[in-house]
Formats: sequence, structure tokens, C-alpha cells
Amino acid sequence: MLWNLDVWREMERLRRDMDGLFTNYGRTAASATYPLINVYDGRDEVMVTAELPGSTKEDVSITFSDSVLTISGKRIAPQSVRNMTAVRKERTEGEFGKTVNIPTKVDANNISASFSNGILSIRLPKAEEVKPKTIAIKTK
Amino acid sequence: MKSLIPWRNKRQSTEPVLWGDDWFNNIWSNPFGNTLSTLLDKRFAAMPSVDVSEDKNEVTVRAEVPGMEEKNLNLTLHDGVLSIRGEKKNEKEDRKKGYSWRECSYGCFSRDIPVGEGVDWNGAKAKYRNGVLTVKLPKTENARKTVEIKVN
Repeated sequence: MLWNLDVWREMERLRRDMDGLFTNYGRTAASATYPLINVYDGRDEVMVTAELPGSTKEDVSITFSDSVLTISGKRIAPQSVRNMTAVRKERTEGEFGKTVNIPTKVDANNISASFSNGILSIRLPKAEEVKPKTIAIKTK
Repeated sequence: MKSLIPWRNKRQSTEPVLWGDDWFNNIWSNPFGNTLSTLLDKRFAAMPSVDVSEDKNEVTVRAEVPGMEEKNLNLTLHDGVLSIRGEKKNEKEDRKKGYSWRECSYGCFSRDIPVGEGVDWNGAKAKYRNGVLTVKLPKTENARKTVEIKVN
């Protein structure tokens, strides 16, 4: 059973890598680098969520410049674990960084971020001029 | 990033998996093993990465399961295998908004991790913090012993 699951996992990984060759010039969601992100394009804001298991807000820095959002940081295994013998190691360590191009004009001064259960949520409110406008119909 | 094209959930496609319209439409964008992957995606929506480490006294398993609630995590130990099962739910708010780009997976996941026979379930402790599930399994008295075997 154990053996089985790992084989499926490897096959799935291989399949995703192969798909990546033909779509997106090798860059697909499946071959994405750490951290994995979701981007939502809402009416009034763009929201980017990143999966950063084991990190806290002190470990991560976020910058926004010229419509590019950058999430970077470093992750290291806790001291208590480093003193033990590693039997299986699938989680990666070290420095990470990811940039997201935000293809809409946002209000850079009001970007906010929160961290919950290893998920970093960044809210980028859209600039007034790109928000949808309701046009009132006048009666004559 | 691709231009902001609304993302469509492949897993919501209707059955049958193998020969539906979805299969035919996807074959061009997903040339390798679409049928296999569709089946796999249904069963293994997300496979958490796991670290296992040990010392003389205990085995520690750490699994990356961000965005979970403790009540949606289920742990069992059988024949020296620790099974972590759970369901990662997509926040309702997100679904309403519609995705533009999606890398994270949602749904049920399960992972079976060999931890050896020599662990004591009664003393096991699990905690979920910052998206990482840590399970500490103390070794049994027998497993802690180091026996020297003489070669004649």
C-alpha cells in the first residue's frame, strides 16, 4: 500500500512535468516553485494567497514595486528536529522567492497582508480608475 | 503569469471521466495521460510533503498541510504505518471571486508514512501549527534498546 502511494505520486509528478513542456513554455501551475500561490481577480481587489507551511510573519517579506509583487524569505527546520536523524526528507529548506505580476493598477499604499495556518493572504486593492463603475441612467 | 483568465475547476467536470467532452477538450492542453491524471486528481487532490526524523527516544513526523482546520485532520497508526488523512477545503470567499491563477490544490488527501513497529501510540502527541502537522511518537522500551551482537 505504501509503495503504491509513492509510485502514484511519482507518476503524477512526471505527468505534470511532461504536460509542462507543451503548455506555458514549461511553466505550469503543476511545476510551480515554492511557495505555491493562488491569484484571485476580484471586483475591487486582487488577492494573492501563498502556502508557506511552517513559516511565521517574521520569516517572510513582501515587496511591491512597479506592478510586481515579490514574496521572499528563508525557511530552516527547527533546532529540535535538526538534532535528530532524518529518515525521510521531502520538505525543502533554504531561501525562497517568488514574483507575481499584477496586471492591473493597484493602490500600492493600501496593500495589506495576513497570515493564518501557514497561508499568507495579500490583498491589493484596485486603483479607483480601474474599478468597475456603475452608470446611472437618467430619466428625461 | 498568464493573463487573468478565469480558472475553471477541472474536478467539477461531469462523469464519465474517461470519454466525456472534457476529456476530448483537454487532450490538447494536457497531452500526456489526461485520463490517468483525472483519476489521480480525484483520489489524491493534494499530497502533503512529509519529513520524518528520529532519535533514541522518539520518531517525529512533520507534514505540510497549510490552511487546514484541526478537526479536518485524521491520524491513524496501524502496523507501523502512520496515516494522515484530511480534507483541505477551499474557502467559500475564494470560490466566489473566481481564480485567475491557481497552483494550490484542494480536496481530500491521504499519506501513509512508515514509522516502524517500535512506536507507542498511547504516548503519541500531535499538534497543528502554522500549517504544519507535527506528530511525535515515542519509541517503545524494546525499540530504544541497542543490542550488541558478537561475531564469533
